[in-house]
Amino acid sequence: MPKIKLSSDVFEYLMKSNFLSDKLHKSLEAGANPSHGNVIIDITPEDAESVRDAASVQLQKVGFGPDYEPNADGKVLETVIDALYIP
Amino acid sequence: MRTDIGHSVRLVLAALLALQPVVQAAELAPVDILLTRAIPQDEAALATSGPEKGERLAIFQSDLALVVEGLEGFASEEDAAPSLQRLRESVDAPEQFKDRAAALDAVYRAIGDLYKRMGVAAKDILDALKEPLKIDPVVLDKQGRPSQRFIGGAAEVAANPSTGRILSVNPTSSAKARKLSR
Repeated sequence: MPKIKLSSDVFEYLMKSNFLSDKLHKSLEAGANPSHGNVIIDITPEDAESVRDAASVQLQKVGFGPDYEPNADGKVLETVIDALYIP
Repeated sequence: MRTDIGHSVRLVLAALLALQPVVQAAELAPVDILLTRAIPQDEAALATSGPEKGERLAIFQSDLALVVEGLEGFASEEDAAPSLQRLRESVDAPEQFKDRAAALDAVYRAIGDLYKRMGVAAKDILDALKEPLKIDPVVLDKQGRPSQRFIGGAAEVAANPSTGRILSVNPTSSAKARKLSR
């Protein structure tokens, strides 16, 4: 099972988000292991892609400012999309 | 920020192009550049040391060649119009290439995204727009602006369908591409 490293802040952002299903929240929580200010997550490729997909849609909805530059939410969501990319 | 990136991109490109022989540039239409010169990035990657660095450089070079030789070379909108029309007919991505400014904006946006994050080649962006495996429904952001995601075999492209502006570009996972290809 792939291991994904997220900062604690990004992980907390995901856990408090309302764009992920309960199933994905539980999957993230169950696989999370704190490590030196980060969180290492054991996650299936399918769940990783589902989180990434949801983050991509959320990015479209809330991630861009008036000039289409990524805002604070957008930067976090881009980090999530990048981190959960499994080639 | 995009302006700064675009400026840096132009400076680096000028240096890169200065080191390369000028071959066929005057004879190539943008669509030719798009469909030929933007593609052989893998070959260029092999010619440099360090596979990751070489690949990124090759992607960067091919994208820049597309932009500068294909669009920046035109002095005016009127000069660019015939070639952009040919481009629209060839790659079937009308909104993104509706005029010179929109096309340049789209490509610089993609290059900026590439530079800041992870690499997606121009040809993969075009493939997603031209032959998407899936097109998501239009969603509205908080400001009421529409966006739509085109998921291709190698890239996912979110764009404003009203203006043609590309908002974000990300690589498609191979698992997702396989699933959508079935």
